[in-house]
Amino acid sequence: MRGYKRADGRIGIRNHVAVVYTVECARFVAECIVHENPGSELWGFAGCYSDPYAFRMLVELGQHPNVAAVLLVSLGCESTDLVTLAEIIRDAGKRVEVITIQEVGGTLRSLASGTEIVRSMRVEAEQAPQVSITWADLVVGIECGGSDATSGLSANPTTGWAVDQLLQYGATVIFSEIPELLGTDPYLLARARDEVVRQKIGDALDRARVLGNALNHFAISAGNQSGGLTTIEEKSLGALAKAGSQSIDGVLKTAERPTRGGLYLLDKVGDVGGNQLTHYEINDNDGLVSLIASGAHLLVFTTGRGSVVGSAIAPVIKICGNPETCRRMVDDIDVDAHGIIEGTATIEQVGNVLLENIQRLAGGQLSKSERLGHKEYCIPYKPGRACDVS
Amino acid sequence: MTSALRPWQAIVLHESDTVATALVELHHQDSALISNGDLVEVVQDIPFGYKFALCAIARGDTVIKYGVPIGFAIQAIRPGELVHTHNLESLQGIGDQK
Repeated sequence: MRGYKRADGRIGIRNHVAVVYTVECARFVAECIVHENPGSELWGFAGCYSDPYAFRMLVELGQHPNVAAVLLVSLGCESTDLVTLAEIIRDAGKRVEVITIQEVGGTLRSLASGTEIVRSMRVEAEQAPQVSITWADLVVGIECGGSDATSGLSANPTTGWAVDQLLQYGATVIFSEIPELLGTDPYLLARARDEVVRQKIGDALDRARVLGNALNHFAISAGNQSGGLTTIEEKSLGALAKAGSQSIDGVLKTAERPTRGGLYLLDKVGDVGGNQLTHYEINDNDGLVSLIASGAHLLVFTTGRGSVVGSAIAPVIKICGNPETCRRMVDDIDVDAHGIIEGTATIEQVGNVLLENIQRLAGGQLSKSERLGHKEYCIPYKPGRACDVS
Repeated sequence: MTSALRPWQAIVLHESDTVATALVELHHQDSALISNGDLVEVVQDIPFGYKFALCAIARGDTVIKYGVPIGFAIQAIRPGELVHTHNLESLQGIGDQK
C-alpha cells in the first residue's frame, strides 16, 4: 500500500485537488471549474447563513489527508467567514486559494482564474511525496445502508470479521449510527474499553432514545418485522455485527479525530435540549461525510437492498450478501457476499476478499463507485451540536 | 430440495444460538439442513428470512441469536416452530409497538 505524505504528517490514499463552493450561488462556477479540470473534485455547502457544523465539515474535508490542495469558490456576500476558513485549512500545511466571484468579476473571469489555479495545484499535487504505508496508517469507516434480512447474516458479520483483523493489524476503525444500535445497549456498553468510554456510549444511547421518541423515528418497523426481524435487539445486533467483536477504545463526535489506532464509535446524535432536534444523519452520504470528517481514508459500505453511492473525498467499497441484489447490481457491488447466504462461502473467506479489496484500494486501485464516477457528498445544516463544535 | 448452490436451508451464526434463520421458504414437516450440519424438522411453514427454534424453549427463557439474547419467549416454543412477534418479546421494551 502507498500513500501521500502531507505537510502536517497525515497520510492520504488519494491526491485530490478540491474545488469547494461556500454557498449555492457559487456552485455552478465551481462545477464549471471542475468540469474544465478532470481529476479535481467538487463539494461545498449550500447555505448562505453560516453554520458551525457545516463550517467544521468544510474545515475537516479541506484538511483531510486525501486532499492535496483546496480552491474555495465564494460568491462574496454569504456569511461564512472565508478568510478564517482558508486560514484554518492552510494550518494543515496545504495550499488554499480563494476566488470571490463578485470581486473577480463574474462567471467567465472566475472560471478562467479558477482553472489557472486548479491547473497549478494539480501540477504541485503530482510532487506530493509518496510513501509506503502499513495497516497502522489506515483509518477505515464503516457504514450500512439499504439493509435487509441478509445484511445481519452476511455483509455485516463479514465486515465485522474484517474489522477484527484490521484492529489486529493496528488499523483504526470508526463505526457509527448509534440510533440503529438501540437495543444492543448491554453488549455495546460491555465492549467499552474503560469507564469514561462506557459513560459516553451510555449518554449517546440515551440521547438517541430521546431523539427517536421526539422525532417519532425509531427502532423497529413493521417492514423489518415482515422481513423476519422480531425485536429491536435483533435488528440492532445485525447492525452491530459490522463492528466486529473487539473493545471500543473511544467515542468521537463528528469531526473529532481518533488519537491512536483502535475501534471508535462516532456519536452524531445532537443535543436534545433547546428544541434543536435534528436527524442524526439525513441520508447515507451525510453519514459517509461524517466518517470522512473524522479522518476515515476509505469507507466500507454494507448493503442488502443495494446502494450505488460513492464519495468525492474518500473511496467507498460496497459489500452485499443479498444474492438477487448482487446479480442485479453487479456493476456497483465490490465484494459479493451472497455465497454466505447460499452456503458456498464462509464469512472468513469473504472477509479475506474484503481485506484484499481494502488493501488494493489503499494501493491506489479504484473502487467500483470511483470507476463509475460517483462523487457524492452531503453537508446539511445541523443544529444542536451534531458535531464537535466548541 | 437441496440444490447444488445451497447445501443448507437455514443459517445459524453462533454455536449457542437457539434459533436459525430460514434462507428458503420452508414447509410444514420439511427437514431443514442447518448451516451447522444439524437437521431440524419444522413444524409449520417458515417464510424466507424468518426464524425457527432449534430446540425446545420454555416460556420466559431468553432466545439466542448472534450468541446473545434477542428477547424472551412469551410462550413455550417447540423445536422447529416459528419464532416471531407472537412468541418472542424484546427485553428492551422499546420500539416493538410501532
